[in-house]
Amino acid sequence: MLSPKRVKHRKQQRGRMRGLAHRGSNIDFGEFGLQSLEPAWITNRQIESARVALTRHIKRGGKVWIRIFPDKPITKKPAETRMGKGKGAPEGWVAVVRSGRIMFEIGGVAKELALEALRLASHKLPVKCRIVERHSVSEATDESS
Amino acid sequence: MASKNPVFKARTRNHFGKGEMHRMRAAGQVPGVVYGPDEETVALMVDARELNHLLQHISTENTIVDLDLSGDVNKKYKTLIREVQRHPFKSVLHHVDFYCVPKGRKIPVNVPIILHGNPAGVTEQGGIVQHVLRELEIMVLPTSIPNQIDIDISGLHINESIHVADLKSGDFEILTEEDRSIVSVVPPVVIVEPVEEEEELAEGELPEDGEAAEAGADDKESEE
Repeated sequence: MLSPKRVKHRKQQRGRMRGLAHRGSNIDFGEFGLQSLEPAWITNRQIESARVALTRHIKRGGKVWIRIFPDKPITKKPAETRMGKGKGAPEGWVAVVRSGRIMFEIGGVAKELALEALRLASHKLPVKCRIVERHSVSEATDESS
Repeated sequence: MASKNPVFKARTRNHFGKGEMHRMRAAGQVPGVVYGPDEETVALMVDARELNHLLQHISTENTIVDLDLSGDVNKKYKTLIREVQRHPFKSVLHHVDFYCVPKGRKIPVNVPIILHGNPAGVTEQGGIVQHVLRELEIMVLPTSIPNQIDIDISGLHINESIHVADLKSGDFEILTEEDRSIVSVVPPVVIVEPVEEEEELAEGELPEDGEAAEAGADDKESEE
């Protein structure tokens, strides 16, 4: 699963996810992409699950690009613990995804195969997604999960 | 001789600022600007539907558009659409830049690269085509901008590629670095059996957490 090799600080503040993804909102590598329509934290497990769904469906050939990286540590307090006593322990990693972000790209496969693979991958993610095609970002089919 | 370039109508605008632009977009107009090396910059507005129609029918980066400006300035420009700002996922246009091309002077333009043919490496050896570079930056006179650069890839075998240096430049000078790869045919990636992958994942989860905890402990030590 994806995670940073080393980090400067073990714990981060949560931050906010206002606004749109003005960067990373175009298809730059492959032919088709999966675009987020709402902001969310995507965990490294969800990214891995979507990647596995993509690669299993295309079986052989083609190439998959993961355009997000889970570089934000999230913490969690143990169960049945009283509040206070400081911030919880690091629990996992998430990628901060804003609306419009292209999360996955796929290329080198037939259109039908790519669309179905991305549809399957979209069901592994906690956000509404749509599948977009190169050069027709505004005219893609909506795909909600 | 009649011009073959698409003609596009625009009006000058005297409104500026965020609020005005919001109202303008809500009214079906798109703010824009026309500028160039020998021209004064003029703020303009265009009809959103007409602009959408134009953008769907031309290759924006290498098509000369005859901009017919009316309003405070009545003038015709020969322009290239330099930049189109859009909403990241809605079909809403935010802003458009028209670049007035200088007469008789070469300008840098991006031209799409179109691949033709089925490579031998794909049909015979099962390779995958990787189209790396999709646009070529060239220096060319505005009157002779090519629509596209055609490349025949039918002779490509596995592990072979075509570079920018392999292209023949016609009336233009290529600005893109010569060693950049345009297209290559790579061997197919074989995916491991799904069952095995699942087992690997299940096993991989525990050490991952363990490593993270260790890394966390290390960081704590280093902070102290």
